[in-house]
Amino acid sequence: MTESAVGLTGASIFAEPPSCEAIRRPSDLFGEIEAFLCLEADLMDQHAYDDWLSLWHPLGLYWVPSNSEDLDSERCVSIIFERYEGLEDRIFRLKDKRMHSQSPKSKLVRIVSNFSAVAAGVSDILVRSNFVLGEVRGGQQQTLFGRATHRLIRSAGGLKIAGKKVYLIGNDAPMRNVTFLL
Amino acid sequence: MSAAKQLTLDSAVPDAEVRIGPGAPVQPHRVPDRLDASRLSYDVDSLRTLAPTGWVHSALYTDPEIFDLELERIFHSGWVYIGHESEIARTGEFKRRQIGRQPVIFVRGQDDKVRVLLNRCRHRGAIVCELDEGRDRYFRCWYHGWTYSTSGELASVSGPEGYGESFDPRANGLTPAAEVDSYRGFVFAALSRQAIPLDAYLGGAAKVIDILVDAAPGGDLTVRAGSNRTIYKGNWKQVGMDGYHPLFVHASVLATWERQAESGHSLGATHSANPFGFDAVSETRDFGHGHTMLDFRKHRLMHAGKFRSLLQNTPGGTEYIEALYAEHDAGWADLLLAMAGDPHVGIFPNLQLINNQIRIVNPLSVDETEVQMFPVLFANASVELNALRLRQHESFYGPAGSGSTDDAEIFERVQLGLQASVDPWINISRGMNREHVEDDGTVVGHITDEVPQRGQMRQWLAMMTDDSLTGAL
Repeated sequence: MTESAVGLTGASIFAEPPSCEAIRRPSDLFGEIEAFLCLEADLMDQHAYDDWLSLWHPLGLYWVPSNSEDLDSERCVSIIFERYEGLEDRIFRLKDKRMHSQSPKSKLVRIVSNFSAVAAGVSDILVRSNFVLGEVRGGQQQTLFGRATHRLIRSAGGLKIAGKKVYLIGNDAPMRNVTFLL
Repeated sequence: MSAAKQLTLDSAVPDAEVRIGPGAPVQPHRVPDRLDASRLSYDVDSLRTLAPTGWVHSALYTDPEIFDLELERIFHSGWVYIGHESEIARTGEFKRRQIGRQPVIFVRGQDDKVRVLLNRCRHRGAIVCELDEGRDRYFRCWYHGWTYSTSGELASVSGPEGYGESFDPRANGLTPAAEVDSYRGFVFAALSRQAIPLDAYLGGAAKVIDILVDAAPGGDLTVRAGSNRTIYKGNWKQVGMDGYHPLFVHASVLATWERQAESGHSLGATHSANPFGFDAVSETRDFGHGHTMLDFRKHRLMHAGKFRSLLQNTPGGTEYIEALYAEHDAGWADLLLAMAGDPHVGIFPNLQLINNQIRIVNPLSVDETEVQMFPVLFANASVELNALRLRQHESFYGPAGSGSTDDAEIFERVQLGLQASVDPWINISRGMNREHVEDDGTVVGHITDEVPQRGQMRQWLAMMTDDSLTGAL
């Protein structure tokens, strides 16, 4: 799978792959996708930073828009818009005890559900899901609701995240720190 | 209801019974009276004792009565930043903003004039603008249908026969701020008449605002890239110009920069080397009126080459550099390039220009503050250069950024610690032994000195104890 073949160079990564078809439950592929996203959710909740990063394709793009679900990231500010190198920096800092906004760490539990997927073959997949994320830190609890879009591609090491877009439905309102993994 | 009677959200005014011609002048509606402070237990003399030079009493951060008085005497009385003209570049565009507890609309009327109007129907008081932003020809109160033009005129009332001959629509427009003025597109308003004009209020801080404006080719800023909005449980005065904290609060970020010093994605590219060290040449400045600056000019001029090469590696960057040198003399262009449009200035009480952003501080309560950050783009620069500005902003600021979130965490710890009211004095004396005053009255200290904290507190004290504002006290 080449870089250009899966459009890794731009935000078009969150569009449906060409000549794709719906993947339905029950199927091996659907089960694999579901297990992958549940694993990712667990790793984020457990602050298993390196394991989470290992799910990523080295050209991956992580996008958490601000103000709306779908603005032009080249012209509008995001909450997070990072390539893989930015994610490495993020993980480096999350592991640093002097990252005060995560010291102590947030306690996290998230439910991911409502999966729907389309794919071109078994190697190029676009998955949509919803999530509810409960966070407790410093005696305060917040609940975040959102939708995620994952672009997954298969490499020798299995499925990898080539793109992940997280839309928090409260992203146009004042929010507390969301420095844990979303 | 017939089709003709149905109200639409569209821009036309349906069924306007009392209509004022579009050219009718907006009357100066009544200016808000000063709020009655007589219920408060602090008098001027006791307030004066709370902030002697170099010290602050923790009640300033924890007492709800003092917070109420701050809203009245600072936010509801003096100059407050509202927004940038480019946010409402087209006629009819509007943004909802806040002056302390007062909801206002920042709007460009059909006559192209920028106004600040109280967001409150003159009939029964509901907000008339319920969207955060948008563009329309009218604001309508959906309680009883009173409709206002974007210039604030009362355009129509429903059932006008119920108001009689003496009803004067011109006296029932949306209440405007008493004063609105701007400096290079930055619009300020005041809810009461100001003894001091905006230019005089900004004073020496105006020339450092130019560092941001002139960094845009043609001086043309666009503030239309959305915003990040965060909230923390701490007092609004914690958001200040502090060059003493980065080594500690941002230790993990500095470690990241050291690891990825050459990364264009990291702010390390603009913060070359360490401008905050105890041996750094950076300075702090207090311009008066509470306006303060972390002055990186000397430091950044030493490291301009690195930012220049980052720009040159960005599409459109070379053209950008050429534009700066074509528009300005070489010395000023050198500085603009080195500073990357970042004056790092705080305009008392609610505006900060930091890095690539305009920041508005909204006090919500004595221990809760909202911070809204608007990245500034350059109208006449490449998409790639502007995208670089956005990515730099996101890496440090915003609710998932690496910097502001650690700041907010510390502010919350301060708010917790200040609950200890035993021996309640906070020390802000650093650098009093070595600050100096320039000919124009600007106080200057080392980057790690608390010159800005003292400057902000001096303005706080002046406004809180201004005898002309004491009213019922």
